[in-house]
Amino acid sequence: MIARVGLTTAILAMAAVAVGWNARGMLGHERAVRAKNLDFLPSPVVARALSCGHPSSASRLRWIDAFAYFQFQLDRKDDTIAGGGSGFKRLYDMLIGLDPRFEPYYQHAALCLGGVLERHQDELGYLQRGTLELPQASGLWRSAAAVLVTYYAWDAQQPRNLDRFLAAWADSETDDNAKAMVWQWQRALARRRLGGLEQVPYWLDRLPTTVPDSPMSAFIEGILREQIARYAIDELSAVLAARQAAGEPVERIADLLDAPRLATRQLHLQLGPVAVIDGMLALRSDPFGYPYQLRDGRVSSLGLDYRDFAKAVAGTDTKLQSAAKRDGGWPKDLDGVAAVGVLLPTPPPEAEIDYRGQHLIARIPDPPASPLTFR
Amino acid sequence: MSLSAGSVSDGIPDRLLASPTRAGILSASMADVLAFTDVSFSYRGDWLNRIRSLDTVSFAVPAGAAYGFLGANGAGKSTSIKLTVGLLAGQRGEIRLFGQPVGDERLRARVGYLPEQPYFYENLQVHEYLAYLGKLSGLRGPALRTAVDRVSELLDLAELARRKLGSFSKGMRQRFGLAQAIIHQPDLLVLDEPFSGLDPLWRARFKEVMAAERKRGATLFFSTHILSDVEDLCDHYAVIDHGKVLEQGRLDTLIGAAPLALTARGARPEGAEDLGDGTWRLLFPDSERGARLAALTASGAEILRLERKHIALEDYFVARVRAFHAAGRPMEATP
Amino acid sequence: MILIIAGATCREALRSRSFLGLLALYCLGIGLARVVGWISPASDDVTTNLVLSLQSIVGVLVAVATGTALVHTEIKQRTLYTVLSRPLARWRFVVGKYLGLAAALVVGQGVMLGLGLTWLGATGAPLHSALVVAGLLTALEVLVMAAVALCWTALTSPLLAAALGLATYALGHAVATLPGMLPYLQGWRMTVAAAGASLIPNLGRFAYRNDAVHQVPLPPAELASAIAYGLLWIALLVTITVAVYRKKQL
Repeated sequence: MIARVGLTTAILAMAAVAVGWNARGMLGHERAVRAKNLDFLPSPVVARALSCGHPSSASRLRWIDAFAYFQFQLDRKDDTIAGGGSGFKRLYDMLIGLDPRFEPYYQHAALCLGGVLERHQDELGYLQRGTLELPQASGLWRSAAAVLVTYYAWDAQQPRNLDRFLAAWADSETDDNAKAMVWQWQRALARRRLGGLEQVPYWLDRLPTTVPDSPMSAFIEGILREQIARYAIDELSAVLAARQAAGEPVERIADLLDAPRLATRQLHLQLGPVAVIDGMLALRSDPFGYPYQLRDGRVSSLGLDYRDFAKAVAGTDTKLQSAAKRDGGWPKDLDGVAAVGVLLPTPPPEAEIDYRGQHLIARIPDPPASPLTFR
Repeated sequence: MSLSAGSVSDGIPDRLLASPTRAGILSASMADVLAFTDVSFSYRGDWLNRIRSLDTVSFAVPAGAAYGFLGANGAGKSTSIKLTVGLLAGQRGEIRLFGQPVGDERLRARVGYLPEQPYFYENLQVHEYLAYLGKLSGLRGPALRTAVDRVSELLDLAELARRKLGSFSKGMRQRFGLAQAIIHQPDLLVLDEPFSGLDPLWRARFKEVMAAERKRGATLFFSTHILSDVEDLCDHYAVIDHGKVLEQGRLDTLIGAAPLALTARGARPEGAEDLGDGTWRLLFPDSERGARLAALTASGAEILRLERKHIALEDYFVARVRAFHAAGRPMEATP
Repeated sequence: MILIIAGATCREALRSRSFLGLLALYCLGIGLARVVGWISPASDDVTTNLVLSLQSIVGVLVAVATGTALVHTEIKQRTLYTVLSRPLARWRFVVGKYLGLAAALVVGQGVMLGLGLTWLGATGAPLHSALVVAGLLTALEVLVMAAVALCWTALTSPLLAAALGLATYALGHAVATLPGMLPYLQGWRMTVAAAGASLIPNLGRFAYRNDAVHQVPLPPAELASAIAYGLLWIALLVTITVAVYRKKQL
């Protein structure tokens, strides 16, 4: 009896230690930027043969794993792989080859190639390939139309071809309401055309195709905030320049609430940096929830600065990992990081770089206001 | 002492005894239920070697007999049995079952077989399994249910009806094995080492059941390497060793061939063994009984005891087998 | 006779621990499929795909494991002796064993399909009749694989038969993609590849699950053709098995 109790206790104790050890290794990690080597990806036909009758399941699992690659390329803006060629194209050709009827593959291929790498020709190619395979996928038609308008200005330069394209889209829709929505889309696109915010309609159009709180959704919202912040900086900088040219003092950011000069800018009422509250002009927070600042004589968006800082730190961390692999070890602290030749980016106010777990991490304060949302 | 048909079954209630079947009566009128004629059989061993397990084996099992098939492990007993029940085929020579060539599976409807160290499906319950095997032997409906109940009770399996055979001990499996062999009241009961794994009580019970089957009209053919089982049950026997039949015949002939032992006091004749105290013992064949008794009476010897010398079969057969190996040839069968 | 043997075999198979263990594995798998779905943008689609795939993978594992053991174990453990010593032709025994295994596999596949669809419904994934048709064709695929495993065991040892069975599964699906690869070959190589592939059952004909997720309808003629194809291969493989066991020394 005693021996049995002792044995059970020993088993439970060892199991607790083993499970706890595992769990400690899994929890409490910062999100790390991962790199994926896509050199080994087989061609679509071979991939299909290797999937042993489960091509759609195999493609889903591979797709989930591919998000790591996507995240990496976000910073590098380069997906060339060893031997030349595009990693994204190779990946999505394989995924589409395994399951050509899965609409998100075409959408994501377009997003990665167009949104990340700005290769809009390739983006359009995948979207149109999708419309051939899935003629009733309205999302693909809409995305292709957005690319044609935003990046190729077909509404201005090729209006007849755009009309033919939209007619083909309408023909592919089986529902009368869906057909009508094609033309409504064209009219809505025209209304959203705004100076300095040309790409916003495109991204606003892509956002509903993603799942809320998914990485893709976060990426698109980030782009939107970035573009709106740059627009605001441009507009406020124009007011600053005008005041400086007129010899009017600008000591604080609030000095840019210059009603007459702002009136000439024709700011976007919802997306611009200035709002009217109780009849008074007020500066909005930037789209990230931080205040606009006047720093070193320039208008800056603290949120945009933090975002750029975070990207720069991620890129620097990649360089650190390469250096560590080269040198066979990691530095002990931040001074050591600089000593191995990795230049650390300058943090914006109240931000700092942390070195923990052999990775560089950007520490950014929480925004005082809620970020702008688009859903 | 053999258990003849008239001295059996005191331990088994009459209601559990099967009546002699018409087929059993018919088969009893046949000369031989099973006959091997110059049967040789070999199988592939390692690589291309062929191993000969039977070498021109010939024997015959008369209808209604209790036939003991004796031999050491690996002698060829199980091979002979498997050829009989169709598990092996491709032999040279002829095997006839109920007068027909052994290849027709329909003949096996009249055969009940208990393999050596039987194994059964682990997840079937006793009554399920008996019903399954009974159906394969042609029983259906009420007759099947009656047969299952009968053999279950006969072999004390009724309380275990819902137990799965995977949990059975060796002895319990042996009991089930016999139950499935007799469930369809076969005309020929072929049992390979039936007493293996049984305690003395169940050995005795098995002998009772086998004798009851014989009384019903079945022919018994069983293999064993234990000679006392043959003495208790059989009236015919064959001895096989290294794939050859060394000897076969009727057991009472063998026993009858044993010499008489005369114990007497008086003038000791030549060849008598001195037992001391003035007594002596003389062995002589049965055929000399009359002449010897007359001579002793005339000499004035006091006859104390006359009895047939008990043959220790084990010693007898061991001696015969050793003689065979020494001579390098088979012995002639005794009639 | 055949049905009697099939009934006993089915009962024995359904009560075996390995059978129940693999069903438990399936339940674990569909639970994990949901977790995988959580980390995917199209969670319902991913979960549905994985649930359908698991029915096939687990089903084939059960079929190969049980099929390779079906007759060989009976010979090795001699449970066969009390059966074949009865008035029963060997071919009836083999056919009965296969039918019994098939019945057990159909029950298992039915349970998996039911559990899978219930789980999908509970997690909010859309349900439609195409999923049921996909499940039924997967069951037919599993029955073909059981016949494959049984046939391999008649020709070689159980361990090698299991490996060959799984290889046949992989090749049977690879064969479905061969038409796309044949143009890469020329001359006699193409002929040899086509001839070799023709000897393997094309399991792609049962892989409707890949289209069922997208609710692509299966034409009735194609469904009937797939069923006939499966039954033909089953009949062929079981007949080969019967021929081998007819003369086998036990």
